[in-house]
Amino acid sequence: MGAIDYSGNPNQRTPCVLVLDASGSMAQTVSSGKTRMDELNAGIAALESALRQDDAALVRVQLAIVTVGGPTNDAEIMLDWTDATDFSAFPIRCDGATPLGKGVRLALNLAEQGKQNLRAAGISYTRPWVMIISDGEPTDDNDEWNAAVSETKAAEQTKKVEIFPIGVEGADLSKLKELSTKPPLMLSGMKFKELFVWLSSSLSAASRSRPGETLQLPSTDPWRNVGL
Amino acid sequence: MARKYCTDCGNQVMPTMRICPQCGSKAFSDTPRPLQNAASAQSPTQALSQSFQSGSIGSNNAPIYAGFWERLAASLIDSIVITFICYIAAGILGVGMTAFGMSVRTPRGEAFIMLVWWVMSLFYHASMEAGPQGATLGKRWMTLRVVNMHYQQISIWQAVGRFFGRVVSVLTIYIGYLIQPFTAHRQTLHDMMCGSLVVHSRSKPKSGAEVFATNIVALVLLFILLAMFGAIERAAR
Repeated sequence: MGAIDYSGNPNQRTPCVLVLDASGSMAQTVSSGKTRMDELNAGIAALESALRQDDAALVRVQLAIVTVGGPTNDAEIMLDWTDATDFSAFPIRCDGATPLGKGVRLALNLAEQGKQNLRAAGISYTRPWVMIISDGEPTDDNDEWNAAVSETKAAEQTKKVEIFPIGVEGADLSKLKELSTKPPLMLSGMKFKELFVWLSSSLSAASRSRPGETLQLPSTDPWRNVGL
Repeated sequence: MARKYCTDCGNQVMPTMRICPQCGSKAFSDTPRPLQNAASAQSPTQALSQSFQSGSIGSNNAPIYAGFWERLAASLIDSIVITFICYIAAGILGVGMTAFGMSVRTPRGEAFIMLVWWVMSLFYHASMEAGPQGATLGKRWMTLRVVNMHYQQISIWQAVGRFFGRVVSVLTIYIGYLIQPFTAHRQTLHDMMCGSLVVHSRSKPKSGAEVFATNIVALVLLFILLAMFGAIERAAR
């Protein structure tokens, strides 16, 4: 991991791993005339912008990105832990298959590593978030997928992470459903920007929370498909 | 914050980036890649990005989608295989039918032979394209495979649909084929109808010279084969 210098910013951190489906199917063109990946990339840019407009989030949120498919046609850690102040959006190219189970397992390991690094640096932190955004069926073999399902459930039950599965419109939610006790939410249209703005304000709220406090997240109405 | 640069495509990225989001390289340097000549005044990232948008470049700078000439070469090879198999099968059937006192030279006999031809072609294409390798012999030779829009193996029904979709592509006076280089995912009409893509398998794609040579050799072989079977048929009459 690229070493983060915590000396100038000892604030509590809220780590968030984004597991992004960058498989070939994200190249499908939507009604806007752009591809799903273009919309997702625009969403990441909106996330950077929203984080920069939120002073609390900017100094407290940490991001990492795991891509599924994408330029290497595999599940990979694309971006290691990065403070929101240092985060700048970048377009991701989509290609290949959807090894989502492998990606989710990488994200869980990354969340654990992030906590260890923060502990070692003496920085307090809130429970890491893992947000999984996918539009299709995982292409992992059964063993990989089942391992991912049992690891996510164990991580949720032991309160190691918060998992948020999000289906891109048209996605088959039955597989995403297996990854969390929380039902997956379906994105309305291609409202990636609204989703990432919501993520920024939710992470901001989480980063300001105290241990044991019930977290009130903003409404998901701006981006959620209300039919679900 | 300091930045680093992808050594393959020159993309400028955050220091915490492990993989270049554009080309997938894991090699970075602290200094930008120098421009080679005036033609590279357009940044490598821009050039690469344009290639990606056109769907012509994939992982490790290899093309994702099969090109028109590669697909034509694969198709010619398949035509040779099918012509050979079907003529042999038709010959055996003809002999069998004659032995049972049925004439092949009646409209009904010719229709029966034609039906067998179609069934064998369908079986060849559908079973191989929906199989684990996702490719007919021609496509295998050209290191291509057929996948669905999720880059997964196509189903048998998609493969069957794809076979009959070819008829539609032919009925459009081959426009269904000719549109292939101009579509976003390099799809023919029957690919679009069935939600399929023809992509390069993981093997190294053939070079331009190899594709050209395959097209010429396959075309010549096909003509020789057709002439040979035509001569045999005329002699049998």
